[in-house]
Amino acid sequence: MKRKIIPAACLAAAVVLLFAAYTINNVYKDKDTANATADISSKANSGMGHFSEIRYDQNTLIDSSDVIVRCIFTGKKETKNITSLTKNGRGEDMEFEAPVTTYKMKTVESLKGSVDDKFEFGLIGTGDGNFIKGGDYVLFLNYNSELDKYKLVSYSQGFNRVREISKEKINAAKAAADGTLSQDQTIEIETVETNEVMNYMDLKNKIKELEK
Amino acid sequence: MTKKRILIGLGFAIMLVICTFSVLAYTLAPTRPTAKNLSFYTNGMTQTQKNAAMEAAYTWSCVTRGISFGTLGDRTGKISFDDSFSDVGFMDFNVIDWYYQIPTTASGYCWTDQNNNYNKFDIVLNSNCSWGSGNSSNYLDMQGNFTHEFGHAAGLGHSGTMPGNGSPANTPAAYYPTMWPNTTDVWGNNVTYYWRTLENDDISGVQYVYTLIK
Repeated sequence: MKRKIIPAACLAAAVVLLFAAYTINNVYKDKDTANATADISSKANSGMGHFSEIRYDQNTLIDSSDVIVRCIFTGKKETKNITSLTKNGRGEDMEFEAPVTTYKMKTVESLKGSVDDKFEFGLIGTGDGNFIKGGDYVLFLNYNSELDKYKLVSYSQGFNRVREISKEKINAAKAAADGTLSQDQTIEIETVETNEVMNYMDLKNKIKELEK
Repeated sequence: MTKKRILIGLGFAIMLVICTFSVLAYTLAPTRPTAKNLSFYTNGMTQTQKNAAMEAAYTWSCVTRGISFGTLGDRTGKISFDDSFSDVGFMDFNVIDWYYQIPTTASGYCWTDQNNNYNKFDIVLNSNCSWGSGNSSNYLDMQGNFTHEFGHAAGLGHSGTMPGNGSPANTPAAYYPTMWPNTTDVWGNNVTYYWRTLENDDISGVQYVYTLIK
């Protein structure tokens, strides 16, 4: 009897775990669907853009940036359609028309280069949902002095949100150091697109090192 | 003997759970197609460029269980994100980017649109990049990059997954999902040629998208 019960119990446990995984999986999917449905209905006449991008190593990313700035999104943005001339795949002249959104930012700290207390930068598209009013970001930007415009060096690497590090990390860092941490050591930046994380103090040190 | 059976049973159950959770890696785009037939024009491209785009579209059509990417033919004209044409083409991003604020590193862009009763998208690759056909450190693979962009047109966002166990020796470029956002992996290996081939992550994602189309 025991020889039959144990395999049956294992099979039952497997079925229960599988059902739980399937249910949890669908909860995530339903949440995705609900969010996407709500988003679609609220943006009935707009769209969404996605970049594929060349990836820079960290040194190149920092060197390629004219400005690296920690900033807050004020919530103000403006979208307008722009038409300009470019070349198509055969090298022929072609017009291109698309919306561009300008985001108004408030500077918290400039890590590289100089930027005004308030500045704007633009991104193709009708509005990126990752910019949240009051959100704290670190942006890697290029600057065109002729047009007085900023743009992202890279969306996947140069668009980061700022957050506090976890208590576990703080405790571990304090234990490894002299028991204290600077404020910069207690926050980190995370890329919005790929969730890659870097300590804010480490970033500042890296920038200083490369500028020598 | 009894303990051995219990361990084997639990191991089997854990493997089942891991396999189930592996499909959570892909992401869905906030906007997605509302129709199963997505037709497009090839716009202003050479024959080689057109062939790369068509192969890329066909790659997705083979796996989506109901969607078809079909070509309406070739046209030459303005590419506009707000018109009724779904265009696939190349553009020199450097000529226009300061007006459009396109990131410096962009190799391609896909715009997906939801508007009333039709569904459209536009895909443009940056002609300012070095393009070719094949696996090389000297150029980006056209067909691979088009495959990535068509994945967005099919309703997928970027995948944050790095398959394998994270070390260069065990996670070569070949195992990156097509919807990985960068043209290289984190160790600098060009992944665009391998974007031609969809991974399980990509296929699971797009098949799920099409269960949402009513």
